[in-house]
Amino acid sequence: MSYSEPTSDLHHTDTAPGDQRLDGAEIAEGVKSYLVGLGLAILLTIVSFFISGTTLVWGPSIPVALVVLTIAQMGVHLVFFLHITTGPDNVNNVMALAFGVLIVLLLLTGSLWIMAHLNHNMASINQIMEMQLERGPEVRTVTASGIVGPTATAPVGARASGVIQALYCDANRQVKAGQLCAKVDPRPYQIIVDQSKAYLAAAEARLEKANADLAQAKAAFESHEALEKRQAISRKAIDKSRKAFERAQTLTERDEARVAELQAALHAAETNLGETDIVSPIDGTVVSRNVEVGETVAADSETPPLFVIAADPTLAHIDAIIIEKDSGEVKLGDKVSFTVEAYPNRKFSGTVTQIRPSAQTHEPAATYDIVISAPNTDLLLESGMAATIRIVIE
Amino acid sequence: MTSFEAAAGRSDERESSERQRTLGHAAGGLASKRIITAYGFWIFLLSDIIMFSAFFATYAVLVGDTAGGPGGRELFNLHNVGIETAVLLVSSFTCGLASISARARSVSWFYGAMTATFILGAAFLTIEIREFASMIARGAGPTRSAFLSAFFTLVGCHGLHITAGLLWLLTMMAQVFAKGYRADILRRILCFSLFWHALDIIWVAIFTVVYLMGVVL
Repeated sequence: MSYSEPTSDLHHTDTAPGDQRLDGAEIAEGVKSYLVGLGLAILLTIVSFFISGTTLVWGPSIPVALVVLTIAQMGVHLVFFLHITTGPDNVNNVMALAFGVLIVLLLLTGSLWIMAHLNHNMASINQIMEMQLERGPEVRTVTASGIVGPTATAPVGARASGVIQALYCDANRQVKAGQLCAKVDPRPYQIIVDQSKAYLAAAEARLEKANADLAQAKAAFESHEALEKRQAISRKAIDKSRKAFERAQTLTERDEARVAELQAALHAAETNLGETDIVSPIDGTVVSRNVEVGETVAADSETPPLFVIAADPTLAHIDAIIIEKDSGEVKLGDKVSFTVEAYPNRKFSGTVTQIRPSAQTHEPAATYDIVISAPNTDLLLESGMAATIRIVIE
Repeated sequence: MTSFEAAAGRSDERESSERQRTLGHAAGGLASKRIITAYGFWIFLLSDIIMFSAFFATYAVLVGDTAGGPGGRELFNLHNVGIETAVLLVSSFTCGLASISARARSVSWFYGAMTATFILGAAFLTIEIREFASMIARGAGPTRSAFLSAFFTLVGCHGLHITAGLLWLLTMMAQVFAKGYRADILRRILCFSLFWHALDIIWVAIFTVVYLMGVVL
């Protein structure tokens, strides 16, 4: 290169000079530019790392601060390392950079915006597929609200009146068929049993004596009959012994009847005593308990049950109400999906198992009660939960 | 102070490339080959950056889709990332020194700065490969989730660029050794330094968007 003019005033930037050799001052200037760039970049990097790990600034501002710092550092790199400046020789480079930045921004914001938008509109691909599998693409639904109730319940009442002496079951307790749930004070019933036994014993003793008398009267009568054949006894005497025999027979029969009667009474008393044990009739879960220790209970069907026991907690049923307008569309066996507030992201499914006109019509329009059965294998559905229901109709 | 007009007036005595450069776009003349080459390479770098921005957009869309696998908070080690960032930043500086050395025609400084750049770049690559290997060993490979696929694509693509840059760096040292500071060699060195600086810019975006935000969010 023959060029040797001191033309540093023409060489605005490092990209500007041609292939001429740099002099000492230009070398120093170039190194200085790189050092300044390095210093700024290190500073910005350290601030970025510091901010990402700090709790000194407001949390949501951290990503914004990081983005600003990144753009600043990219600017430092562009100016001090790549020497993209606003000098006259850099117009094309800056134009290209501006175009590139435009494309990058379009690409980034466009992708993120469209994807976020699609994500929002599509809800969940699983839900869509589930509905399509159920009914094909065109699905009509009826909405309703309901309450999760316990299924197949067995009320347990008292069959013996008295005072509750002890309780062995409480709500949410698993019970087996025959398990003792409560005990009515057995003493009054025990007394009756004991009395019955005493009466029975007395009656049995009388029967025994009557049997002995009968045997004696029978023997006397038979001997008199033998004497009569030989004409050795008076007519009067034989009549007397016959009557005694017949009277003994009657007495024996009466005592036998009395014994049987008292045996039946004892059996009844023992049964009543047995009924002071209040047991669960089925395997299941105690849903409610309406009795306390010391309370007097009556053995009649009018009083509310002492316990309610749900047979199978893995099968829930939901009591729902639909309005008359929808009642013609809903049929037994229709598929239902529903959510409960406790698990807003979980979708439960079931089928309509009962439809009947509603007993209470507190609204101007008639309503219908429907019952939905739903598997509850993980026992998430609990009695009393409010369910938002969609019934899939044809 | 020499004005543009004066420079234009003395144009006959000067190399044509120098004159055209000085007149710039205003005069509508041809730019020097050096400037045209740098401009063309700058266009390539911008297209490369646009390609990276597509990977960044993919990553940003998929960052939450961990498919039950580990997320950035569990996987990223900011200590390593800090070292990587520092190493790459200093290598950018030594690369700048190498380009100044080339233009000052200093062979020993050029070799020294290029060797330093190579060692720093190789150190960066080693740390990154070890990070990838440890993630794959922990079952967090690119097939684990959409998030990890996007992560390995984005960061791995940058790593491939660094690898290519290191090969180019060795080639430039060999060419300077074999051919000396010819005009075309100097243009190639210019392009290489632009490439290396651009990779550092992309790394700035990666360490912020992927690592720092991955741990913060």
